[in-house]
Amino acid sequence: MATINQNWRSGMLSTEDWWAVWLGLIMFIAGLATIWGIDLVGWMAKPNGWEWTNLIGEFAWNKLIGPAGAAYSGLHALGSLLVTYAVFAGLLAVGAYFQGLDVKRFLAGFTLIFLITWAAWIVGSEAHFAAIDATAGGRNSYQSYGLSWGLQLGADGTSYIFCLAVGLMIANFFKGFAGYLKEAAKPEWFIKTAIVYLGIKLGIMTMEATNFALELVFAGAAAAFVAYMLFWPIVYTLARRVFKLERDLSAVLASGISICGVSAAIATAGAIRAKPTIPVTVSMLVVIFAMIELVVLPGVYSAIAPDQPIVNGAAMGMTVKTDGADAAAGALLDELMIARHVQETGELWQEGWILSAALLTKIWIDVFIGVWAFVLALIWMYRVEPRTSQIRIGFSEIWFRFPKFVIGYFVGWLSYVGIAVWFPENIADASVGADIVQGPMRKMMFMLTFVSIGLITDFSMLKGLGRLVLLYAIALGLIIAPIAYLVAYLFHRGMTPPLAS
Amino acid sequence: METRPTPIVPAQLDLILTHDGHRWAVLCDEEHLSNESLEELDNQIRVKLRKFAPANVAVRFDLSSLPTWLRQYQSHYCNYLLKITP
Repeated sequence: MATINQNWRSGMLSTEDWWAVWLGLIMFIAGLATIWGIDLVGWMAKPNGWEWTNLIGEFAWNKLIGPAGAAYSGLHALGSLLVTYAVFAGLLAVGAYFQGLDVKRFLAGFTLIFLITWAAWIVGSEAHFAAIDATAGGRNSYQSYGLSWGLQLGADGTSYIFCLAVGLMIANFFKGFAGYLKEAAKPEWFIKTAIVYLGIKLGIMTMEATNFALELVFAGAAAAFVAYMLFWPIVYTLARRVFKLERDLSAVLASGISICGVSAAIATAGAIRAKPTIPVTVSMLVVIFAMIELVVLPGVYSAIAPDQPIVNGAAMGMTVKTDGADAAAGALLDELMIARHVQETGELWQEGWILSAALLTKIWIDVFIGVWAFVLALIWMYRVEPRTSQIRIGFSEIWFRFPKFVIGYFVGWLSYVGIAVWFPENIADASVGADIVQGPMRKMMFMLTFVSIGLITDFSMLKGLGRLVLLYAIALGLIIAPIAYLVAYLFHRGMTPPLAS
Repeated sequence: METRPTPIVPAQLDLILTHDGHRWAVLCDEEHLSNESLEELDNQIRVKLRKFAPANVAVRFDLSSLPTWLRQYQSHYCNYLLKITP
């Protein structure tokens, strides 16, 4: 059966995690074709910066969107959007089929989500939302548009917020419509695919700033390790001693709140053989709180520590508890902090480093979920509910819980580093395709994630969970967030992204 | 000449474990077994399959028992090996 893991190949064609790898690698390989002068990805649509008065009397679609690749400059704006839709709808539909989803319903829902996403992305690119009143690289886009007011949230920051807001409105005020879209609202699938594309970006960033990239990777690993060792025991003790929760629920909550949200909650529940209703309950809490963190933390962190971008990113990675929300929050933080910094100093940080700090910490946390669950299983089997003579847990459990999308992330990253090291003469050509995959393609997957996170967040799910909500809020607000910030500060203080050229 | 006793190789059996929101369940030797406690269900399995002892029973959880929206976060719950001794 597709939903039973029997060997190391189990789920390769039937799970979302693996389909993030396949979709990621398909575009990664397509992007590499520019090395041989073939552009297989330049059809990808991207929004252009625009100002609404420029459209009055002279509306043209190419003022709003256009193909990302120079080789496709002759393609009509709507044509590039149509091709973008067709390619991604087709690939996602194949993945949906193998995952056993209702493909017709998936396609119908995805079409609407795609339209919502692009509408929000285009609207968010309007100058009054996006342009920043600061000179960077000899140019001030705010003044070049002749603006008298603007929100100055950066090129994609507004779009992310619009995407999330629309999703949330639908989920909480138009529940029937949200139900219709749910088959296609797959934030974890979209963000994991985007993270594979982001591996390419990290590869390019590593070529440009190797020491910084490596420092980010290893500091992220160290921070994640500290997080495991500190957070879990504290939250478990709080749940058992103060809230008097039973052992199984306390362990699952501790993993969900302190490590990695839903995936850790399910992994822990499975490891200690808890009733599945426990991770279902905990997961509802995690999803709602992750969404709240996504809305609150980027603004808070960029306000309290505007000169500690990497600290803020890494703290985000240890605090926000789902991959989707963490990546989304990291992307928003990246936009907000870069916008703020360029306004205050005129320096333009390279885009993507703050996001990478948030993601790398999270990825390390994800990688060790399987190990942690294995350790907990042994503790439960040998100490908590001894039954060593009757049951054996296999090492394969670690592999089954390993986040497969990380494989795609590292393939993308190390491939571009490998090209830089062994085939440096091909880097310029390779970057043409890479810039499209890790640029507008990745951003579109992020936008789809924001909409989907909003669509699956129904605040009424918290009804009846009073005590657990209180525990979650206390643990997250008073324990996890402050300690995460302290750990991030210890490992990343003073690190700032390289400047954009 | 002494002959060594033939080593007994445990039988290898497979069961699929599900949960309906209240009880764990398996289809075991054509009989549907269920219990609220997984440990009690393991004991029921041992009794039912004692005739095959010694045996190693690979118990694998069917992830479709979890709500669809959860599976995108984690595509595995638990597998374990249940030993049945004579």
